[in-house]
Amino acid sequence: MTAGAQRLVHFSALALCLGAIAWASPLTQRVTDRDVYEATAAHGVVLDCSDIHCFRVLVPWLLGPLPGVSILKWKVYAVVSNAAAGLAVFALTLTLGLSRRAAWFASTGSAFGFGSLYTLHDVYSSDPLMYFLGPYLTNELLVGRIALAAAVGAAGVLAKEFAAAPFYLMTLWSAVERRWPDALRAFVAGNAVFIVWFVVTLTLMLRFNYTYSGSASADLGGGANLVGWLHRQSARGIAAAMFNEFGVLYVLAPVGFFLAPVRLRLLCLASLPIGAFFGYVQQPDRALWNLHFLVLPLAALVLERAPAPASLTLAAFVVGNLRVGAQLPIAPVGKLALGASMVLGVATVVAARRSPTS
Amino acid sequence: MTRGLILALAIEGVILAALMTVAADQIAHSRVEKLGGVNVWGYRGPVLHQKKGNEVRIAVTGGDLAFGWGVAASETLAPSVSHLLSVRLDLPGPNARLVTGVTTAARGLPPGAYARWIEHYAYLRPDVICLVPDPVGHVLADPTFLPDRRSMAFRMFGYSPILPLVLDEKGTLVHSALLRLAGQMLDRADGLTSGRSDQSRGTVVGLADYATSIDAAVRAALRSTTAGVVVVLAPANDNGGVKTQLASALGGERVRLVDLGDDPRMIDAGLRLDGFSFSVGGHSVAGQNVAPAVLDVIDRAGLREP
Repeated sequence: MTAGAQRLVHFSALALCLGAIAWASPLTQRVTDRDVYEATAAHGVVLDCSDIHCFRVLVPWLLGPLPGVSILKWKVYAVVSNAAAGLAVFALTLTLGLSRRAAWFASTGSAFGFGSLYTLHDVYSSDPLMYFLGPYLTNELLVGRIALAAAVGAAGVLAKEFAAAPFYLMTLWSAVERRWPDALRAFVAGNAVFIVWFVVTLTLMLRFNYTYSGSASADLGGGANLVGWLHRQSARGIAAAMFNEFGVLYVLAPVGFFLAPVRLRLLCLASLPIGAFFGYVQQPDRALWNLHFLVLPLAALVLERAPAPASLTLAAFVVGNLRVGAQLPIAPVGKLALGASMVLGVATVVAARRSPTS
Repeated sequence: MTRGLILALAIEGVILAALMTVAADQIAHSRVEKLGGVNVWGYRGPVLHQKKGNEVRIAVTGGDLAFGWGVAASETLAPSVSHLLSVRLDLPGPNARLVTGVTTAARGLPPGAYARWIEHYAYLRPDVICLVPDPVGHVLADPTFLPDRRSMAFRMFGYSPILPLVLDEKGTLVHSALLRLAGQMLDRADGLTSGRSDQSRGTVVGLADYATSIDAAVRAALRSTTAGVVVVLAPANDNGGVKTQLASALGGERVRLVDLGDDPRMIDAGLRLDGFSFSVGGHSVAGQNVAPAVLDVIDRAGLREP
């Protein structure tokens, strides 16, 4: 089987599984950003809009003209994006020098992680596209396809600001490694993407009276979304939300960090200021999943060293996320799976430490 | 390769600096537009939303008196009139009318420029325009910044920069020569691109020219409104001669005249801030005089019900 055919099969398998989960996932019972995205899809621009999601025009502009029921179109978009994200994480993991087995683990964790599955539940969001663009752009930059990455990033930034992040991540990483020409290339490309975002944002503001007044994210000096989110949540709620985001990856990734090659470690360290920034402007329980493409390769480094418990750990992780992410009505099973994934995760770490390859 | 990258970086730096200046200017506008400044499009208060189907929009325009120097945007004549009209029009039930008021006047605007100014803001789709001409003999205020009509951005796009003024005033307030310098540099940069020269302050003189200007402004206002025009004469001087000169302009069915001098309260010096501009109380009393005429125009146009 050729590499292209393998990718197609891989993508199809992920898309089928994610499609089934999206189909089973119940409709959201709370206020979401659906109205804003649907209005943008219907009208192109929503005059006088003060919602930050009005600025994220790419996905509604692409989906709006397509025929079909709105919820179906958005679910298909979320499925395709998350399946593509799984593929992109697979490719990135290989580019980072990890094994194919590790790439499989990372890819599966990406496609069926909390962030991905949550976007199958609440599909009206630019997040699925960002989950794909994060690893895709990082990989393209790593292999030196800067122009292609800049072109895709310039389009992607119209969906969400995070599309510019991989460029600055690569800039920081290259600078830390004192590869100044690479840092300069990534910086110039990132600035080009940022300028596109800036111009579109100012155009929407001046031409159509868009504002950020209704969004806490823009209140950078006043705590942005983080402070409001912390105030609205109980301590237990915050702990639960943060735990659900990465689950057993909290156990695996730190161990994986010490097993990782130096370059991957530096890449992860370079991502910290970016993660901190997005965790501040967004609510952190969802923002940090944008960097899943770095967390999962770290976790995969542990998982690949102990395949037997690793498979069980990953399976429990996925089942747990079916509950906390996709919101499937399987509360007892979900809780059990989350608990089991933690226990199995610890067992995997122990087994990995004893593995002769570690 | 590296030289090309550095060149690209330099170009990006220039573009980003320009974009950030615009962004900073917008932030500056958002800070001052509700106070004594103007919004990005040069009128007072926040930028108006798209006009709603059940909305009646009142615009107050003119020069220094209409601009309302010294009071907040929400304390000028326009919101005062709209508030009084809301009490009559924004009633419970399906026929409720949303009344909004906006001040499109400009500091230092001579009467000869009123007509063009009204046409400039016709896109706001006012139903009624209250034209408040500065009285004959009035020395016009400094025409800079409120709004910045000299700016190339204003002349090309209608965008009125205010960052130079804000930086200059902030610099003066906190004794920062750097801030003042930044403000002056920005002002000069805008001046260089527009090729503008300093405008001298003028005086509203010549009754014949004055009447011609008001007549042209009324005609422009009639073209821009759905309901009509209310001409509001300042209370300080003898308006008899002005009224005679304006007789032809004020003759139409869609035009009303309010002489603030007819209300003895308006003569009270306590309603002025600097001997000329109205205080909050002055705008409020003026609003009480103007609102009935505006309501009459609205009624006549059949706008009381959506």
